[in-house]
Amino acid sequence: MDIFISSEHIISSLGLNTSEHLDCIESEKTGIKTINNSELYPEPVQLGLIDRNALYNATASMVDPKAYTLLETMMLFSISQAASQSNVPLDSPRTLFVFSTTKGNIDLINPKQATNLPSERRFLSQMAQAVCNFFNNPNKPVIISNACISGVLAIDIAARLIRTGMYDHAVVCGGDVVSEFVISGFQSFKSISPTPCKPYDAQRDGLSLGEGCATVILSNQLQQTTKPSIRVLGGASSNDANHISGPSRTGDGLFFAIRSTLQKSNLQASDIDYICAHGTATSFNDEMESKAVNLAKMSQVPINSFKGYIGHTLGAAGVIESVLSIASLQQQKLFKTLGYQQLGVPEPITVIDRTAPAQLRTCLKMASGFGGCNAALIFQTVN
Amino acid sequence: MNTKPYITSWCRIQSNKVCVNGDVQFTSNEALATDEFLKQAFKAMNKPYMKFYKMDLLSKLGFTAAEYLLQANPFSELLDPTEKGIVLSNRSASLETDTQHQQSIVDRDNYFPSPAVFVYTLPNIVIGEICIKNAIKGENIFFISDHFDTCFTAEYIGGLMSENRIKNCIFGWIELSDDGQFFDAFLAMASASENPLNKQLTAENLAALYNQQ
Amino acid sequence: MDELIYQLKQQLIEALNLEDITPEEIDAEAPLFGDGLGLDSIDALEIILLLERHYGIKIDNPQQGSKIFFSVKTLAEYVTANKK
Repeated sequence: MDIFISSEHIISSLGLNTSEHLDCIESEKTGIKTINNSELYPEPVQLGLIDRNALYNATASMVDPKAYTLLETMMLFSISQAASQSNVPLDSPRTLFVFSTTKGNIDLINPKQATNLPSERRFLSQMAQAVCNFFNNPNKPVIISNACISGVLAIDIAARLIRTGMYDHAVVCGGDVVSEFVISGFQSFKSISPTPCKPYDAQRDGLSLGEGCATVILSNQLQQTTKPSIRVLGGASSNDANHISGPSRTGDGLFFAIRSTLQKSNLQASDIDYICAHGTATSFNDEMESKAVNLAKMSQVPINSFKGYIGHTLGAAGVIESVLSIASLQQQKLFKTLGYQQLGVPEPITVIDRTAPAQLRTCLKMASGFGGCNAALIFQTVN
Repeated sequence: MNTKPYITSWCRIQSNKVCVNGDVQFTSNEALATDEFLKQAFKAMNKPYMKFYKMDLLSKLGFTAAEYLLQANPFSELLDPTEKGIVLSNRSASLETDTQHQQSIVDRDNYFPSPAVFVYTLPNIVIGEICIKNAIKGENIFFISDHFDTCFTAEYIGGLMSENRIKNCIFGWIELSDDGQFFDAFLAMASASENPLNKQLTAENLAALYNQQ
Repeated sequence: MDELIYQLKQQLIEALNLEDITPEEIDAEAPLFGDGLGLDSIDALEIILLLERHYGIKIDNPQQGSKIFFSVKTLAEYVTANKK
């Protein structure tokens, strides 16, 4: 059974829709800035924040700001924008909602943040249900909270569930918000760069945090649009079984996920035209990815990371970056890895260092996360 | 033909008991705090593992359940690590540890967020701990739902194993309330072929085991 | 120095959740990382936190840590030299 992308939408520090994102990426503009907001964090820190005023203006007629958290508002906006470009019915029992987030409404447990919202919304299932109820969807939502691979898993799980025949369509929505909770945690790991991150670069010195939300609507029916149609092929996850915060030193875990994904898609390494990687710009992650890519015999395949533009958006990353890699396929263009200048990983990989046209049919999206988890997924143009 | 996998063993940890396949393996006579109960339950196995004491409560809960489960019914030695999988779910994600991390950053004059706490502010870390101990490198995922969804779980595991990659899969419900006082763990092993208990992995069979007192 | 070494051992046992180990059982000159106590990269970051919290010493680059954290004794020497 073919699973098609019916429509998509992104919000992040680059803007409130996908075309704003692509414009910024073409102009090599980053959304990561120095943020000096002592309420958010005691010291200045590089962050990719969304324009919250713009979001609230855009949702003023649709969402009561007192009834929903920031993350929920992002999700409601993103899903409704994606839905406006799709003929998938959101309120149908044949449409499943699948969510991806690492921390959800975590600010609800912060005693310094005043809120009138019920504290039950700190539970991810309550958050997801609030979003589903807004769209009158009758199904219990599926929620994935699996560190930074959540987004990739969510698209794969949605596709798998459509293939069971229980559903015809799925709305996949991934989101996370920057919070003091998360900034302080990553600072305790000393893994945040003092400048916008530099994936795979010899001078890379850590990640940049970002926030965002993206929606992908999947369907077993092909919807003709002006843009080239994209199908979702196989996906897989794996575990390094090595350490809970450091990735495997050999890259074998991620390689297993890639291998499994290729097998499920009936493809070989030589069929992959482009890899949209995780590329957080930490020393260990990028090194590990270079090893996994070589184990998979894809060292010559053009590879990039989008995190230099938007930062690491955690539970949103897998969905946002999948949308951007789908845009690559639709536009027949490879986008530059912002922040990258010189290869600084032990194994050779072909990092995309300038935006340029390319003949692309098949893209591999991959991600890795805390807990030793890895995920991979393949997108392909139809015809 | 698509045959459902089989449930080959299960472990339940709730209130003051650890049971495997319906038999009590450990019980504490007095009411203990969660941390102390789990520590005692783990130590009773007499299989020292220094990393246990660094884990958060959610990971200690899931890890202990996995240890008891695997003691009774280990993974087949013939399996490649990529043929072993793990699928867990709960309601509260990592809220118990989240609360601890939040407390460490509430006072700007006493601001010492700990990496050892922060790393556990993700529910899937318990999967990581179980994978490390048991060399599990196959499919793994953490779902969130209000209750243990036996229908979804049976369907999902069935679908996963019908791909013929995962031959054994640990799965279940590892729930810890955000105040750390209430816990409920149900962990089971699914096998593609072995059927020692004559129990197919169906929603009904799973619910019956989960609801067993 | 002996008092500081003992104090550091107690603090390490608490901060790193070293179960069933007493200060007397930790050899002040033995390597902390590698086989001995089985410490890892997260423990190294926790030691950095310990130094900041109890002694006011800030280490921004974890790579600096490997020499300082060789043993409890080298840790004590570093603390003595840099304590605020």
